[in-house]
Amino acid sequence: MFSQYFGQYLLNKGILSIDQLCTVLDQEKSVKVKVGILAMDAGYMTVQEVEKIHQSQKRQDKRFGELAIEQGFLKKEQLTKLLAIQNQKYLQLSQAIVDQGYLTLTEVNGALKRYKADNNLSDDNVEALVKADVDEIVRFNLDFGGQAKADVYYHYVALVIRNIVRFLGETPVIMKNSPVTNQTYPWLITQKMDGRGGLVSALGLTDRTLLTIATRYSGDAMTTFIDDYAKDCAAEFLNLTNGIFCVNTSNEGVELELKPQRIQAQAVFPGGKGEIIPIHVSFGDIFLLVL
Amino acid sequence: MELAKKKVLICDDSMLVRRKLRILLEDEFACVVAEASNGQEAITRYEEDKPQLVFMDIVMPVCDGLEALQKIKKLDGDAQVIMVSSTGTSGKLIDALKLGAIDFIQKPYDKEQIAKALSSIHS
Repeated sequence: MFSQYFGQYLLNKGILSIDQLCTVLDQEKSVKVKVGILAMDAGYMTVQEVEKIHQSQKRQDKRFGELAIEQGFLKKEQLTKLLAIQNQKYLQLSQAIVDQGYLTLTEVNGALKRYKADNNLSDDNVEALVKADVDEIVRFNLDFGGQAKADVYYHYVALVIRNIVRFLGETPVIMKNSPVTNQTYPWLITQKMDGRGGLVSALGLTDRTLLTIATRYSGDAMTTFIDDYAKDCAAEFLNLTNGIFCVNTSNEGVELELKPQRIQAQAVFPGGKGEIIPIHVSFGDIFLLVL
Repeated sequence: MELAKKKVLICDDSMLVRRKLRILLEDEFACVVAEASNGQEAITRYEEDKPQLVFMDIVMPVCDGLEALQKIKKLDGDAQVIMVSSTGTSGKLIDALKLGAIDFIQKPYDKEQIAKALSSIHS
């Protein structure tokens, strides 16, 4: 995730063009190594064991390494070794920029230092980005200081981000949050989770973002027309995420009542309160709203 | 093969879930599949079709899955109902089992879980 955040910074500052950024991110993707692959390469896990963990991740909100240890496929010290190898890859974006001749090594290092300074990123923050520690990334990118449900929001947003990675195959960039306004969204999918510590969440979408979520989540090809099936598929993505959130809270002793989700065209988030969290993905911006 | 004759009812408000589960049940397990999009429809379809197994979602409009389960069990004490839900909380699991569900599968399900569910109605 470090690459996405650093790349976004370079774009915003006009250091790289969007085409240049796409090129280097694409190049970096081809050498992106996941823990499962590293574990197989090191001879710690078999293909079948890695696949079993991938299946488990579809039902449980846990990291690959955490599940692999729980299921007895990896030892803690082995995971530490693998993560150490993986940590080095954050320099690959810088290397790709230099390789393409977009910036010199000195320029890219300078940009990296300015990025950390501009965003008050500590070494721990950078490590969280490098390790894709979503909980930590959410904490330092978002500020729910004034909200009574701040902790609930942090947990919830982190889960949404992880599910965007898992189910939509994206590496999202979380933008700064702001209070809910009476903005009208082309499509608004809303769902309520009733109970103490519960919340209302919504996805504010455009035609393009709705269709892409529907296509990626269902695995089915969609037309450019937003039909009932496309709406249902996008809504089911939110429903699945919220179902997992209810399971997470239930495991902590808080039972929430998940209500049926609702999808509306040209709608405003109800209540006029809460927070908007824009999430940048390759096919546009997803607006996550929580109350 | 006995499995080929199994009549299964899928009750879920999501078209996506119904579609994917129907394809799996028909193509991989040669089941005869009926669908309902809420609990009320499921009760009606159950009375009409008398399926041997019901896959029932929990969170649905009109009549939720737990209420539908209760009503179906009143109609037929031997009804075999498996809850399939994204909210696999311990509270819901206990509620469903108390009301007579034979199993609980958390979404997203995989093929092996469905195969196990179908094999359970043989015994």
